[in-house]
Amino acid sequence: MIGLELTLVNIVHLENVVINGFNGDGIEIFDVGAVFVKDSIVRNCAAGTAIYAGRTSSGTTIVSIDGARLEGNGYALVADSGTRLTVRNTAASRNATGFWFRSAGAFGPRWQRSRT
Amino acid sequence: MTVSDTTTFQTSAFLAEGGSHVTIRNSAAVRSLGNGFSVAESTLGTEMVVDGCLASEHNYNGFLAGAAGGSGTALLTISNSVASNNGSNGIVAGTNGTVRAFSNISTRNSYGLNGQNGTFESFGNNAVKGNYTMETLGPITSVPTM
Repeated sequence: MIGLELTLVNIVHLENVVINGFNGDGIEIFDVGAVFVKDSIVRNCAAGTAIYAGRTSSGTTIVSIDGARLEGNGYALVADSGTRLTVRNTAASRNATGFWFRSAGAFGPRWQRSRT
Repeated sequence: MTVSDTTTFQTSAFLAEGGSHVTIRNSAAVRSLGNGFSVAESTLGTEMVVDGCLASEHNYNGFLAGAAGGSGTALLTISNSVASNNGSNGIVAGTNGTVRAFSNISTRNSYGLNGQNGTFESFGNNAVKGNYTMETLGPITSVPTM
């Protein structure tokens, strides 16, 4: 079971959210315009990923994470094809793997300027 | 993709592959069973830029480019960062990997800097001292700054 699945929506803001103990991904993002996660916790999704973002079609998903705690998950964060990701002030601990930036499909993640 | 001011403690900390382009700044990867920051080669060219980061107490490498068993290229550009107390290398260019390093500290690792199987370019000002087996291994090419 997935904690929160976001699919085919335009913009989502998640603030002060706690997701705990799902056996799938904590937050799963597919084909979304933009997702902003702030001051939130995703923990103990041991068989899944705390935050997974990817696309099944062309286009770009913007994901911004600020002030998150990602604890005790299979992966802390996976950014797949078509994702433009910014992470700031985030701690990931006791996950099997931390941050995985991959391009499993045809729509590779592209460069984004560093925060200044 | 951009990551800043972030801390990880787990099996493997930051992994880029498949042609992803990642910038990581002011972040720490501490105490994992694998590598701290690693860039896996890809025919699409995987790239990671790291500035002001810490990789400490990993069983293998602090910062690694290449050596993932694939084909293509992996590029790691690293500056103002610290690699310490890692079981294998502090900063290493493995097979199909290129490291460009400037103003880093590598200490208390098994090997400080390792360019034995890849391309390791130093732009200078790297402090490499106090590593247990060797300070450097393989060719470290000095490249002048501009």
